[in-house]
This record gives sequence, C-alpha cells and structure tokens, in this order.
Amino acid sequence: MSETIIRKIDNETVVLELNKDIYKPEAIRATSYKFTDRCYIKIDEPENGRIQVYFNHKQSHDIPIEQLAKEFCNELIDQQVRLDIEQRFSDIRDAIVKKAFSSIQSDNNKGKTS
Amino acid sequence: MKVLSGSPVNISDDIIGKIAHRYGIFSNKRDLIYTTAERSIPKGFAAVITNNSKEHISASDDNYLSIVCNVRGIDGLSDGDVVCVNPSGSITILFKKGAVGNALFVTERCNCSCIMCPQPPVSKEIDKTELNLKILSLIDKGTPMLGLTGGEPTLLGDSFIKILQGCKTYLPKTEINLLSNGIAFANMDFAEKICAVRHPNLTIDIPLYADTDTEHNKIVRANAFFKVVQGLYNLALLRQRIGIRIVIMKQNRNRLKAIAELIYRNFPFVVHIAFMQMEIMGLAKENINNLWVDPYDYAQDLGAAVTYLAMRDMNVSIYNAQLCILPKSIRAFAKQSISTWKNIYIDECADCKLREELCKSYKRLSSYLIKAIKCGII
Amino acid sequence: MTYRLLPLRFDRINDNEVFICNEVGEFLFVPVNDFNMLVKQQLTPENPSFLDLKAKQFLTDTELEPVIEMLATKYRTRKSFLDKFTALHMVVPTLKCNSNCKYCQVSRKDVTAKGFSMNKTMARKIVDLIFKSPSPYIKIEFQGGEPLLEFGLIKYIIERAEWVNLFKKKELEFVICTNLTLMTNKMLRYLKGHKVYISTSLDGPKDLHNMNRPLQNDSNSYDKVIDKIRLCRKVLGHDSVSALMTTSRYNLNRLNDAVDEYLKQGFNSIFLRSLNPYGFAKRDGQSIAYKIDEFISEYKKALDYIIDINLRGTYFVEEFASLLLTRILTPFSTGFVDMQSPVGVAISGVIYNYDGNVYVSDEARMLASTGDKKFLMGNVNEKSYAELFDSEFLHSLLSKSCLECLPECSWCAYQNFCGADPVRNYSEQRDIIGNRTTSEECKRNKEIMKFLLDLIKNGDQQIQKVFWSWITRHPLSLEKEEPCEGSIR
Repeated sequence: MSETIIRKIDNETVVLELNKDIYKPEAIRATSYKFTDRCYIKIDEPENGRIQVYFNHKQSHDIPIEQLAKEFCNELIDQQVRLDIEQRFSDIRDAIVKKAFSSIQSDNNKGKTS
Repeated sequence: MKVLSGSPVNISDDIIGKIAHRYGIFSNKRDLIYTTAERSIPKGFAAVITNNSKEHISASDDNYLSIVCNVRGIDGLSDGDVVCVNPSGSITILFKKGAVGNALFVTERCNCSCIMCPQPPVSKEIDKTELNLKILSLIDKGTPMLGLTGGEPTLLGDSFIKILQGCKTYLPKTEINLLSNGIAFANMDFAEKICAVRHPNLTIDIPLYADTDTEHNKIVRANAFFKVVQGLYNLALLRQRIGIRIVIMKQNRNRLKAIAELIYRNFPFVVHIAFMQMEIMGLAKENINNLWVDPYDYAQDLGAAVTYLAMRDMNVSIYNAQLCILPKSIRAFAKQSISTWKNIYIDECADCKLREELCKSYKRLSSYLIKAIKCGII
Repeated sequence: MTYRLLPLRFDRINDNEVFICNEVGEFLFVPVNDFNMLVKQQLTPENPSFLDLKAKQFLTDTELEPVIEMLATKYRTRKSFLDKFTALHMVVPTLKCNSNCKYCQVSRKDVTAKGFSMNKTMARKIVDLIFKSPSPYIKIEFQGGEPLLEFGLIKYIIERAEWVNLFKKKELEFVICTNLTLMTNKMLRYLKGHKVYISTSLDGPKDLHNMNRPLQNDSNSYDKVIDKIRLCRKVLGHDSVSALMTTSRYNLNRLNDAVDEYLKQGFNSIFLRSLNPYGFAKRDGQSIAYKIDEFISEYKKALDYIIDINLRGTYFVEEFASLLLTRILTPFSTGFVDMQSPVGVAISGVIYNYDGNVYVSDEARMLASTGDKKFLMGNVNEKSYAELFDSEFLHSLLSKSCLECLPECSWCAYQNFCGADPVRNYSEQRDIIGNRTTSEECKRNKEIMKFLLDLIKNGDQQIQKVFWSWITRHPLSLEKEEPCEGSIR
C-alpha cells in the first residue's frame, strides 16, 4: 500500500500514515514544525516502512482536526519540493555566498601582508 | 559623412586639414585647407578648395599647390571643419564644427556581427592611428562632444589607448563618447589601461539588446553577453562613466521593459540609458524584413520601459524618434541625437508644430511604413 | 535536462500563482503550472515564463559561472550594510523623565530621582569607545528617559565627539530623541550650531496623544509638544524635526486620525509602529496591548488611506512600507538595525546606558530595565572595545540571527525582505532562535509584505509611482499615461 492514510482515532486525534519512500523525514519534520501552533503533533516510525503523524486538537484553535491533517498533506508536498530543489542547488548557493565575500577575504589578506 | 567632389590638381595622397576662409600671419598654413571663391590662390596651405575651374584661377607655384577645383556645394564648408581631400578630388567632412553627432571612426574592424549593423565591418585595414591623431589635433578645442566609434575601437588595443591619450592632449574639455561593444573590458587589465588615461570627461556607451545571453548573442552573432556583463562590472569598479544603448527591433520590442529591469537590478550604476530607433543603413537595410517593427507599434512598450527607469531616477533618453508617435508622457525624454544633415521631413510633417522642438525623421524612412502621420491635432 | 535550477524559495499565494524569490531579492509571480514544470525540470524555452525566469536568474540553460558572478555581485550589494560595522551609537544620558507614557518601555525614573544619570567621566569613556568603531559614518543618538533633563551632559558629549572627530575625520551626525516639552530657545540655538536633528513622538490628535503620553504633572502634553515643534522649526528649519508614533490600544483604531494630525502639523512622513513588548508595555499589556491580527488589519487600512492621500496629490510617506518597498523593488542594501539578517545587534547599532552598561540594542536595554540582563555586552569601565565587540557572546548571538539558518526563515519566500530579532524572540518566547509559527512579529512582517506585493502585482501605475516617490524620497508626477496622438492609421 503506498497511498497516504488519514485515520480518526477519536474526536480530538487523527493519525496520518505516510510512505517513507515518497516523503523524506526532513520534509515531515519541517511540516510538523509549521503546524505546532495549531495542534499537538507526535511523530512515530513503526516497522512497516511508514511514518505516523498524530494530530491532537489544541483548545485555542477551532479548525477541525481532519482538516488540519489535510492541510498538512498539502504543505508536506511543498516541503518535499523544497527539499528536492535544495539538493539541486545548495552547492550553487554556497558558491554565490563564497564569491560574494571573496573580495573582502582578499582585502583582509592584503591588509595582513602590508 | 558628407562628401563633396571636385577636380583634383597635384594631389598624390590623402590630405587632412582644417578649413579656413581667411588667414593671417600667425596662421599655421600647413594644417589649413584654404577655401575660396576668389580666383587668386595663395601658397603655403596644405590644400586649396575652390568652386572655380582650373582655367580661371591664378596661382604662383601652381606646379606644387594641391588644389581641388570645380567644387560644388562649397558653402557647406565652414571654418573649423576638418576634411580629408582625396587624390580623386573627393572631400570628406570628417568633423563639422558646431554640428551634433561628430564622431571619429577609428576602425572598420569589429569582433561582432550585429544583424542590424549600419556599418558592416571589414576584416583588414591599414593602421590609421597617426591619421586619427592628426585629426584630433585639428579639431576645434571648444568642441563640446566627440564620439569615438567604428567598427569596434577597442580592437586597436594599445593604438586605441594612444588615440584616447590624443583626446586628452588635444581635447581635454571635450566630452568623449566611446561607443564599444564592451567585450574588451571583460579583461580587467585593458579596462585599467583605458581608465589610466584619465581623460577628464569620458563616457563609454555599450549596447545591450536583450535581457538574456541567448537573445543578445543571437542579435550580435557572437558569444558576447557575459563578457559585456563582466566589462560593465570592471568599468564600474574603476568608477568609469558608462551608458547603455538599446536599439529597438522586432527581436526585442517585447522585452524593452524586461531589459530596463535587467539594467536597473544589475547595472544601476550606469549614468545613462538610451533607447534608439534603428538606423536603416548597411545590414539593417539588407535584413529589414526580419528586423523592422514600426515605431508606432512599439510606442507603448517603449513608454513602459522609459517610465520604468525614470521612476527609479535613472537617466534615460530616446534617440532617433519621431515626437508625434511617442506617448505624450515620454516626449520629454526624446533627444536631438542625429547629425543635422541626416534629418529630413516627409511631406506630412510640413505643418507640424512640434517640428521646432526636434521632431525628426529619417532618410529613406518613409518607405518603411511609419503609419500615415496626420499631425493636425497637435 | 535542458536547464539548471538556481537557488529559489517559493510560496503558493493562491490556487493559480506561486511567488518565487531568490537570494538577491529578484522575484516573480509564476502561474502554478509553470512553477510545477519548473521544479520538475520540464519547463521549455517556448514557455512565456522561461525568459523572465532566466533573466532573473532562477534558471540557466547556458552557462553557470557568469550567472553565479552576477548573483554574487547582487548578494554582496544587498549585504553591504555589514561593510562598515557599527554606525548607530545610542547614548542614554539619563533615565529620568518628565513624561508618564502608558507604554514606557524603559522603566523611566522621576525627575527628582538620584543616581540615574551619567557623569562626565563615563561620558568621555563612552565617546572614546564610540570612535573605536571602524565605520566612516557615526550617528550619535541621545535616548532616555528624557535627554533634555541632562542638557549639560549632551553638550559635553557633542563637544567631546567633535573634538575626537578632528582626528578621526568621520562623517558625524547627532540626533536627540525627546518629548520636546522641555526644549528652550537657548537649547535650540546650541543645537543649531552643532547641526543636531530632533526626533520626537506624536501619537495622534490631542485626545489620542494625551491618552498615550501624558506628562507627570500635566495630562495635556499635546499643546506643549505642538508649540515646541513650531519653535524647533523656527530656529532649526522645517525639516529639522521628525516624528514617530507608537500604537497602543488607544490609538489603534484611529490610525487615520494620526495620519491627519501629522499632515496638519506639516510632517510628510509617519512610521506606523506596533507596540514593543517591553517595560510598562509588557507589564500593562492587558490594557494597552492588542492582538497582532488587529494591528495588521488597522495598518492595512491606514496604508490604503495614506496611498489615497498621495494619489490625490499630497506627498506623504509611511516609513515601514517605504523600507519594505525599498527591499522588494531595489537591489540595494537597507540598514535597519532591528530587522536585517544578520540582525544589527552591536554590529550596526549599539546602546550605552547611563551606568556604562553596553547593550546590543535598545530592546536589550529595555529588557534589562526589568531585570533581565541577558543581552548585556559588558560595562565600559570594565571591558575594552575588543572585549565588548569581539566577544564569544556576540559571535554566538549573531550566528543565531541569520535568517538563512533559522527554522522556517531558511526557506521562507520573503526572507530577503525580512530580518531576525533574537532579543524580541527571547522576550516573547524565551528562546533566542524563536518559534516562527507563534511569532507575532513574523506574522506582522509577512502579512504586510504580502499586502505590498499584492499591490505591486496588480500593477496600478499610479500606485507604483506613489511607491517610487517614497523610495526615491521625492514626489513624482502622477500625470496619467496618454496614448500618442497625431498618428492615425
């Protein structure tokens, strides 16, 4: 089974089961972080190659817990995209910053030898 | 350049000189070309130009005097003009005192091959450095502006540095406007050499035809874009005044605002940006069907680009434009930029009230479909 | 693969569009399908978005090195506020104050209180320390309390600074932040001679200003302030006085009235600031604070009102919007010590308290006044310049205030326009790094940025002109675009 499952445990809690092959743990963690203001989150990793994300209702928020789980899935896609593209260009970003400050570096070296 | 012609007498080589209609005891006759309608020809000048025929003039030493007779249009020559008299009897006006758009063509070679080039390049030529230095020495020292162009002037390398030094020596008060494709300045050593001359008033104008390398390179037919970028950066680091020029054609008329945006975000240090209507000469004429877009059709795009830059306090101008087809809000940016002799007015413009205000048209333009202009409203 | 993707961050702003932004602040609104294809490496050169994406360096299909060079140049430009190190030096000559502002953040003392003013020895040490900064530009800003209560000290500091500057030859500027009620003609003549600028507070029309900012012995501070503003202008010139306002519960719903008041008093700009949660503002939060959602809503209304004023021909700037617009629409660096990455703590702005304690920012000082000295750098009597400004403590603090490295900020599409505030994070959330999901500041910044970006996206030419008049600091002609005439097909 590879599809994402949302299972209701009780009125306050749902659990989301995610396929580890599709969603990397870092993406799941980043998305979870983003939802901590709206609900309580627990992440579990049972043996079956899936990750479980438990959502528990917070008193201060009115949004139904199932809806939060669905929004979580949408956000998760974006986080996964971020991870994917990050892998492709993180070395370029490092190159940009390094090059941007390289002139200061060489100025510093000049200063030291003069 | 304007050319007159006449019948040559005793001219074995090109003669460069300054036009004079009078002379006194302090005149440096060897640099002057005496121009006269009189029949009596004095000696000692580099050459003499007259509208009289050879039979009607009298000169002592006429075996040695270089003369051009039967010259028509002699009134077109003024004191201070610098001309080249050719053994064939043709007189080329290299510099017209008081005119707009004087330029020294230092070379005909180029390392690009722009699809709309008004002066297609040659691959070989003789060294004209000494000739150019002589011309510079004759140009009136009060000249407000002189262009240095070609071809690609920087291809002359060290010889070009000499010419620039000549500008500093002979014309320190003149605004020198170097037109270059900018590629040479990607080499920081060369850029430093240019700036080391320290002419007090040098601006380097560099053309940019697109906001991406692929599109710009297609137009200049060379792998130029990123070298131009590096050249711009190098010149900026050396605090050299830079202008950017954009010639508008079919290939880039949809990206004018995008080009303006590229300039603002990447080269905000440029002192001037000029949008130019295409000159229909040379390759531009040959390729006209692939290049031409009616200025009336791109007027809104141009307006957007000019307004974009003006709002950001960038110094922007429009060159070679007909005022009546520019949106009113950007007419103030149109500048008198063409050599006066290139201005012609088509019949419809006879009564135009804007005419005094620099309304200008182009030779041969009327056949290229500027949509019928009916100026009654203005 | 026909192209290489370059660093970018994104935010889905609605079902149809994605906002993308890169390391140097170039941004685009891209149709969602184009975005999906872009990130899946499926976008083709025939796509209308392709050239825009390429020109703004979101992708490259030819070379890489020269594009990195262009990005690096722009990156260096945007971060050049770091170049020269600390330029803003705030000095607190005294904590005594004659005002009784409801939201006082510095826990001020009474005018008769003893032991809350600087002495000359301390002042001299502080001035000498200020000039150890390598910055070629130094701005000394007097804060308090009410600085005018120790005018003698102010004169001493100004003159000492001018003396030292004869040797240091920096560009030197002075500002006094004052409630103006104690200003005299004699003081103004002195300030004129030393080219000192004045910054004061005006929270709205009479009733609102007096509600927020009564004096200790007089509930009507407004009349005095207006009177003194006129006096300042008479002696120093019209543009010598600037004003800021602070938003409390009392004036939150009447920001337009505050704007009107500023116009009436001849100011051409206002900074609509939300409340900083320090000092009395925190202590009395129940009565004077408000939810950030409310502030955001009122701010947007006020901004619309101000834009409208401009559209009708009067030049008037909202300073926070102006700062954000400069970041969004220009490639240039903007030093705003409270909101930049890395944050300006000590490296851009620093504060010297009356007792010689040096804090990383004014907010840090405010925090200390309630007993928490977490952000104390040291005391001028005990530590050298290097010990203060090159300390382990500062290094660690700065490394935690680069948005590029903070959770959520590191992938936020609006990162380039924003900044960190570790002192605020600590004050509100007990954590220097902070939690973005519950951060009021993050919410405020993001909402206002999105509001401005929406106005930019809609492209109304007249509004763009208003924005650019703010960025370039001069009015622009709002003449409408007319099509060309005289041309008939």
